[in-house]
Amino acid sequence: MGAFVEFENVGKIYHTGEVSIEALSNVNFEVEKGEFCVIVGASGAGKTTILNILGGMDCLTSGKVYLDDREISAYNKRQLTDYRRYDVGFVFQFYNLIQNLTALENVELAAQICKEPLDAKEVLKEVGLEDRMINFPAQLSGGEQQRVAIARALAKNPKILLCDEPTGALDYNTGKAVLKLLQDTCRNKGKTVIVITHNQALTAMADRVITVKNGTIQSMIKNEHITKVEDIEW
Amino acid sequence: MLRRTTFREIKNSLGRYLAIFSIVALGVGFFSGLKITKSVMVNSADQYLKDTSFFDFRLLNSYGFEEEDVEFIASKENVRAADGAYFADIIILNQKGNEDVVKVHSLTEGVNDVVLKYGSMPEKADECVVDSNYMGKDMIGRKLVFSENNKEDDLEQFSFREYTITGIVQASNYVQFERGTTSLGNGRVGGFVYVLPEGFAMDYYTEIYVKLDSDQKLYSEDYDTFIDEIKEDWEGYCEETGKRRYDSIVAEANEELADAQKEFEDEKEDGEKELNDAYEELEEARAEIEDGKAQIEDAKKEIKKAENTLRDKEKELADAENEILENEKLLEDKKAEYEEAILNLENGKKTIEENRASLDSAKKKIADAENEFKKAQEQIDQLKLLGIYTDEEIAAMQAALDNQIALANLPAQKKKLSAGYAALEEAQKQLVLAQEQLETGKVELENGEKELADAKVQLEEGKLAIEDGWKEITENKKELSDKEKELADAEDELNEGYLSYEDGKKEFDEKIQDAESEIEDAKQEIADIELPDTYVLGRDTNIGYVCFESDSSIVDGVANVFPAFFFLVAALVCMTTMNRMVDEQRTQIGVLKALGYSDAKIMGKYLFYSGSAAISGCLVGYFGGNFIFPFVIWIAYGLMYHFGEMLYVFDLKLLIISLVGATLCSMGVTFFSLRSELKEVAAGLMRPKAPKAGKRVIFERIPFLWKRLSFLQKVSVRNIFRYKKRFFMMIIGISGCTALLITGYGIKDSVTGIAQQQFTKVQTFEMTLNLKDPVPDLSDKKVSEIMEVITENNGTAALALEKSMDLKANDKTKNISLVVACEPENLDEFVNIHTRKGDKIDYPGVGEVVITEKIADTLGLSVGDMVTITDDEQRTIEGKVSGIFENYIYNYVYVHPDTYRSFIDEPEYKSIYVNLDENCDVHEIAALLMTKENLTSVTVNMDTLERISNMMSCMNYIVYVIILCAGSLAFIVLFNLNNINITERIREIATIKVLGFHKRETASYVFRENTVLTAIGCGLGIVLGIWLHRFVMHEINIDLISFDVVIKISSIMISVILTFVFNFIVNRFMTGKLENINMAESLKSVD
Repeated sequence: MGAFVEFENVGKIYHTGEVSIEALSNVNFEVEKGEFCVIVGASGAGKTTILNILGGMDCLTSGKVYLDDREISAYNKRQLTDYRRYDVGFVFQFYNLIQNLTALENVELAAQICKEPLDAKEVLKEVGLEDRMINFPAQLSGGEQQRVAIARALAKNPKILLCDEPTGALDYNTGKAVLKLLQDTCRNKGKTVIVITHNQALTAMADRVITVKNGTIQSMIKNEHITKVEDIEW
Repeated sequence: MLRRTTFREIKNSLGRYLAIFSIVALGVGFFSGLKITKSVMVNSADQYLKDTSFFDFRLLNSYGFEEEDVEFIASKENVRAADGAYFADIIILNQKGNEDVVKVHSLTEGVNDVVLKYGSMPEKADECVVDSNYMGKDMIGRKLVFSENNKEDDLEQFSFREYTITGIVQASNYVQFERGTTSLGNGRVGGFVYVLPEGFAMDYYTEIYVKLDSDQKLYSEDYDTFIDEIKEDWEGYCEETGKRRYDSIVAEANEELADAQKEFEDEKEDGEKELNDAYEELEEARAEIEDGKAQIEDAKKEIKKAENTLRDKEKELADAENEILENEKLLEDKKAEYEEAILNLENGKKTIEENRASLDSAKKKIADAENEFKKAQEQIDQLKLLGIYTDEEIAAMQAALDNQIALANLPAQKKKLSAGYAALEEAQKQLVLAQEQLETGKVELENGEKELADAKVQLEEGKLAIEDGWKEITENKKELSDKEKELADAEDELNEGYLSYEDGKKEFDEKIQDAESEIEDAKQEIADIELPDTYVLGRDTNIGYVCFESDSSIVDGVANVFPAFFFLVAALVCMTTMNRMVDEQRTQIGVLKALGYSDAKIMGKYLFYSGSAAISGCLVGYFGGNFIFPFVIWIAYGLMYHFGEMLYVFDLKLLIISLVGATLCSMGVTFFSLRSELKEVAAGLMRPKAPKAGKRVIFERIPFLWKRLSFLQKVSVRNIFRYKKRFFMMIIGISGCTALLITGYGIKDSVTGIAQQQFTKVQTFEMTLNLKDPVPDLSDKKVSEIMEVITENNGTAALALEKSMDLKANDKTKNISLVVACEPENLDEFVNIHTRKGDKIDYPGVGEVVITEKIADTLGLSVGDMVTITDDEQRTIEGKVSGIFENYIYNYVYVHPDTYRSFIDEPEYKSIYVNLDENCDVHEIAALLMTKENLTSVTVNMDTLERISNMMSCMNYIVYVIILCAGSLAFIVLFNLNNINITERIREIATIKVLGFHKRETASYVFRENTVLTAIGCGLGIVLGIWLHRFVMHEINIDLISFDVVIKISSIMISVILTFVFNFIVNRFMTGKLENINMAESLKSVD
């Protein structure tokens, strides 16, 4: 029984016309269940590619990826869809809420396709949007929208929460609040959370920090001194 | 550099570029194609008619034209060519040996040319060319043979009885397939035939065709005004020829009359002379007879005289004969006296003897008696002695004896006896004396006898002479009586002669009188000769010419509606597409602006993008549309018309309109949406435009329904209302597609249905018979044979009058077919007069009329209005409209026979409507009927139905074109909208995918709106389609036909289904595109 998430010699080459770009090569890492993991790296280092592969949105060129002992890298399209549907929760940089649905409906939208969803209202309450449930995304602030997005991801009751630059579009305080929410989720609910960021500062709050550079894992460190979100500054 | 991005832009968004290109191409193609079609049709027809010198005027004159009339007409201003022509209908035998009626025309020079398809033109009088619709080229060289069943009058119009076919032609006079009707045979003209004028044997031309020196386009207003301007002059010319013709006819008649009169006078004179001669002759004869009579009278007198003389002589002779006879008698008497004397003498001797003897016997007797008495006394004495007897008894016996002795008186007797003896002696003495006398008498007698014999001889001689005289007289008499008889005969003859003379004279007088009155009549007749009816007929009286205009107007009608619609859609598509593009490229615009490019340059990029797509689309569409539409429609119309080659028309104006339209739609839209963007500062542009806010829709205020929807459905509902522009475009596009399809199918339904409707819903009878002579009712003898056939086949018949008349109302006139049913109460079985709603309309009563919807529509009539119907003799019927009925072919007006009777005349019924048993062979019966008396033609409704259906089949092509266009419209609109929809919502879709939506779920998430919108579009399209169809049908206005403005439910269903099929196909196509959305890429950036 290995780690919860496991990358084995993962390589990824993009073909654009005649040009081949090696985005990832020989990526190896693992994340334990219930960990708050931060993958950090500069732009273009390949961290999003890792997330995409882990999230079942992209295929790898070589190597293997396991999640909860299942080999994701071997899934076909249909299985990948199911994987995304039941096992993964996404939080995007730009929230990607459905503009035409209210906060509550956005959450419900995700919840209704899952096997054991959480109660949408409950989740929204948990993320502190009790009063804004009937608002459309456009009526919400960026932080609120991101919290809706997190609530949407959580409501699916996924095995893993993948966050792509969740604070990228947010101001400092809001970003912090969102990170707090993520950390709390991880701590309180025991969800495995993987956050991708270029912000080195965030590594302080992670259980595990994986540094990516030029398509390879530069380091993987278990953080022994976890800093509370409130105390991190950048 | 900017140029390079522009081209790269085009390359990268080829779908969008092509969408603009194709919608503009389609819009322009449809617009210009349909618009140009009528021009192309009219132009091609125009060229054809120009090439063949189609007539401008056709002059008719009830007396015909002479050569000099033609010259007169040809000499008029503006005349390019004028030629007199003959025409006549005749029955021929076709290849199958059946009879067909053809219309034979004479070839004309410089006008109404025929176009030779095969073979050669006729060179000899007995050659002909034939209708290409009627015969193929295999007939060249064969003979066109006239049927023996032609009337002699008809045959006499031709120089020959058969013509050799030298070629197959088309004629400008017959551009349509319709060849018209005739009074011969089955009433339908099978085809036309052209022969040289010499092929006709008529004395004068039946018509003159005139080609004017004008080349205005046909159907153009120029042409109409040109013709209107000169028509009056031409009517004058035509009347002039009529006048000339009239004059010459009157002059000829007068001449003839003069001749006749002269002849009459001559004959009268001759007759009178003859009569006089005859009279004189008679008089002479009479004198002769008188003479003869006098002669006879004289002869008679002479004969009488001779007779008298003869009679005198005869008397003399008779006297002489009498004397002789007397003498003879005398002699005879004397002889007898002599004989008697001898006899007396003898007798005297004898008597003397006898007296002696008796005296002797008496002496003896007296002696005996005395003896006896002595004895008897002795006996008495003895007895007394004896005494036996008493004395008494002896006394008695004595007494008795005494008595007897007394009685015997014996002494007297003895005395007497002695006297006797004395006398006897005396007598003997006398006897001797007589004997002496006798002897002298005897000599005398002998002399007399001799004298008498001489006289007798003399008498015989005289008698003979007289006999001869009588004989002679008898002979004379006979001769005379013969003569008399002869004379009597002669007299009889004379009398007869007189009688016949009288008769002759009477007859002569009568004849003279007759002749005189005849001459009077002739004079009157000449005075009564009216100026001929003249007609100047324009092209508008040529069926083909007129029908082509109305038929090509069908295309124009369609062209008036659809292109505008297509343009609208094209504009909308361009607008949304370009809007979207500008929205998408906001950031890039901002960057360019920030980099310092001028607004104009940036604008230029987008204007070039949209403009190049639109203009190239416009050009492709223009030329494609200009080629395809006329081509297809020309082919379709080729079924009905032949106008030679199609000539493409290049209409610069139309191209400019199309270009301007297309440019405005694309570049204008680009300009406006860009301008608002360019007003913003570069930084603002580079910030992502806030996504369009979600909004609650009205639908959500109905919680009952709203709650039932799933989230995806909710999203769809909200999305539908979120992008208004797209919503409307989608609705317009889809509803337009459905509407087009419905209209297309609807046109087909309306057009193809009319014949069916007419003959199944309205005129339900099987055939119409046209009679030669009118009959008052069906029991008339003239139709007995016909009725027999009908009854044998379990058919029924109704008698009617059909007549072409003009109906006037509201200052407008319309040509109509008047129908008068002989027995209105029985017409139901044959014609179902009903309103569109299906309510039965009663046959009009007296003073009422029932009209068709078409008439009511055209003239703006409704029930209760008054109308005036006029016939060609200006007799009118006035009536109140009592009903308006559903009818599709021809414009019928029904009136009651009594109405007709009171306004015009006794109706002359010449049409019989026949209903037959469903199972029988209508054509067989029709053929059988054709052989019967008093029948000119049989029209089988089934044939008419077929013919009209064939005619209307070219509508199918138009429908296919419309369906094709509707389909492409639907594709382009749906494709484009979906394309925009997907690119616009690519992040949303990617998110959905990331969230783990399955392929089908994603597709339905995206396309549900499409389907809903398609449904809404369809619904609207049905309404729009019905309206559009009605509009188009209204635009298509053909005089004799009233379209059944109806759309079958099935057509609506097919249209809706097709729309959904288009939608489905586009969706299927787009699903692939969805599949290719890269989730990862899409999530990254906003732009």
